[in-house]
Amino acid sequence: MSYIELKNVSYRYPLAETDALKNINYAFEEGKLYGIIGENGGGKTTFCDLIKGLIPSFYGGDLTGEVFIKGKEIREWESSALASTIGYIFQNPFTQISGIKETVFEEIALGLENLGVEREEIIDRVTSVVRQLKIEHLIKNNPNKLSGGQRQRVAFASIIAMETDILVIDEPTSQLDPKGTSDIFEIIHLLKEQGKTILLVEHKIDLIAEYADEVLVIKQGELITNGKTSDVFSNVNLLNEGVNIPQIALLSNDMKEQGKPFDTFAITRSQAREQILKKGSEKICH
Amino acid sequence: MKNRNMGLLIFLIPIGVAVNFVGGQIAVLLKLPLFLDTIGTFTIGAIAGPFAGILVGLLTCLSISITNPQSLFYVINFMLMGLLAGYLAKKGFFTTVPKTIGAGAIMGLIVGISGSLISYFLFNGFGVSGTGVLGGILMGSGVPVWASAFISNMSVDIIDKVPTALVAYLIIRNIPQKTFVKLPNGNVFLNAYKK
Amino acid sequence: MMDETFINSYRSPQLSKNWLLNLNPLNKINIYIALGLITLFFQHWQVNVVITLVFILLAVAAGRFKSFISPFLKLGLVIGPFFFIVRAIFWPGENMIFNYGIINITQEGIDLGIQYATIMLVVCGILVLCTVTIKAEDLTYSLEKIGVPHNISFMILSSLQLIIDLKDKTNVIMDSQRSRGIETEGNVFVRIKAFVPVLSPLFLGAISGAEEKTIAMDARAFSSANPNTHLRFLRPTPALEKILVILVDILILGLIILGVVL
Repeated sequence: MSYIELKNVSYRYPLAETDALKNINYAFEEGKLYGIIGENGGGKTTFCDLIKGLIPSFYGGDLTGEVFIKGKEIREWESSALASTIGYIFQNPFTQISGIKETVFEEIALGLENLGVEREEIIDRVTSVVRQLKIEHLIKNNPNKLSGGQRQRVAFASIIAMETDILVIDEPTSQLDPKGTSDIFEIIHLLKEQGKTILLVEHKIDLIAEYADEVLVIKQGELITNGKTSDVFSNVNLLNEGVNIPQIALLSNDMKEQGKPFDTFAITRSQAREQILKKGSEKICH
Repeated sequence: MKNRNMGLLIFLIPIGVAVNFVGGQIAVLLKLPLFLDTIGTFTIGAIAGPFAGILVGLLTCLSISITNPQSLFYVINFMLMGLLAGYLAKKGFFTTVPKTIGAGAIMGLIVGISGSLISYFLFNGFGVSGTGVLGGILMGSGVPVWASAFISNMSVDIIDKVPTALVAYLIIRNIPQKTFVKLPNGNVFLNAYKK
Repeated sequence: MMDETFINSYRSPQLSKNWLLNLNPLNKINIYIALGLITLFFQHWQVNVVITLVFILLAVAAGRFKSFISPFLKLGLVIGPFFFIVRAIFWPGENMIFNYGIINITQEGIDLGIQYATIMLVVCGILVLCTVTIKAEDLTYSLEKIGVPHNISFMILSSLQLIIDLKDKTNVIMDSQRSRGIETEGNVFVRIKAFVPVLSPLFLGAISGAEEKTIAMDARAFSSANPNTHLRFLRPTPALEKILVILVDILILGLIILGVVL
């Protein structure tokens, strides 16, 4: 059984004249990190909102086809049950802070309070997530006075504390500086190691190349390509579809066109370095 | 999964309260001869319905009383404005400029009357701000106490509520369609702007 | 470094060293309002002054005199004299003391003015005392404990935070509008025209933020039907405190009856 499955899914926003998602079929497997890429306005966020259960309950509009989360159709899920199954983090660090808590520690606990978790368990879970994310120094601070990067880490902590199996993460770093971005990707790496199923929308294509197991390319509401990350990025024609391709993938492609391909198609810096070192040593040997 | 849009109302109501505050603050900073401190109540009441409007009014009154204790006695007026904004918006006021002016005048009239009654029965006919001085001048010139209370409260309310309604109208015109879809009174505005 | 003491503070009820501050917020409000009600039944300005003094003493007892007295004086010194002056110089009465044009000072006006000015001091006392002795989050906690839905708590706390946030943003926008050359000075019409460009981005931005916040809080199980728990909590009201509040209420009721009878 697939973890998340979409069957013939189309969706149109209220008052819209065209579909935002067009006949999408896909099955996500447990424990993988899926990179979702494509042009802006192409339907990536709509796709996330769909899986988060916000469509059609929050946005209205017409949803056809079926979406199964852990075997149960999305329209049959209770909102709070869904909240403890799927975590959702998005780009704006400011709107993800509740604004009603005086300390970061209490802010992270909010979701657990809403679920009715007992106090001792709340304290344990919040303490543990604070350790994992290395934000011990922030717990006494007022969450409404943090920087964007700090807020985003608190937003991650708040969702991670809810211990959901699935995480939908929509452009988490687009409003952050390089330091903030690397902090967030450290967290994403950690979540991946913990075996979470992650759907990640991200424009920084090198990071997708490095972290994603599979990539989905969405354009004008259609799923135009999908597959293993290295396979997707080895197809340089994607550039014509308005999709960025990692520089390293382009380099691998250049090498192939020059008749000197790498043994395996490299898409990240470390893969390329390995290949180049190998080639170099071969050259010396001959 | 049904009450998500209820969620949106819960987040809009505090915005109404905060906008009432900053509206009043900007009016002071710009030294305007108007209060403009009920724009949040008007707007949120208009788009989110009478119930949301009443809550915005109530919470505004409670929080404003901390720095302006006499407001507490006019809590009915604060809630009445939210109720009226929600009700009139449902009836299609706030969709054009002339109708909005009408809505402002009706609201000014009604809260003026209720304000005068409060001033008359609780405060000897004296309003609790500049209206009090105006009422006093009228009394000093020999106008009866009840008439002074009505004239001073109502004139001030009508002068303030018509521009307040117009600002609310300008805000509402710029709210995106995708937001209206999720709001109780949203259909009224969607239908009105389609034409 | 994890601050264990801080984390442990959530394991016991929030308590301070002051007995008055430790009263349940609803009991505090009960006592303050009951004291205030006395004024309505006695109609002597001396009584109002005594009650005002009681509020000041309560602030001292709570160890909050410093934070109480400054806002109290600021409010009281504006509102009290205002209520006195309009009545003193405009109220129509029989016993004329001074008359010039519309100014009409009568003994009745002065009496009424003193009466109302001192009642307003009591009102200011209640409100300022509430703000300096009750934390908003403690108030919403105790409201939830008597059955008020936690949506209401959210609205109250969120309003207070948003007022701060939007005020900060207002100042930023005012500055940027000025530097973009939009006139914020000049005659009345110029200034009225400046109003909408300042408020509108603030308001519309907040509305679109509300949509995002709905989604973010939905992910935090905000609409969960389960009864929610509280990390931070207050002690259950001790029996002694319940008795104290009932005694105060009975005593004040007795005073009021006495006042009405006399």
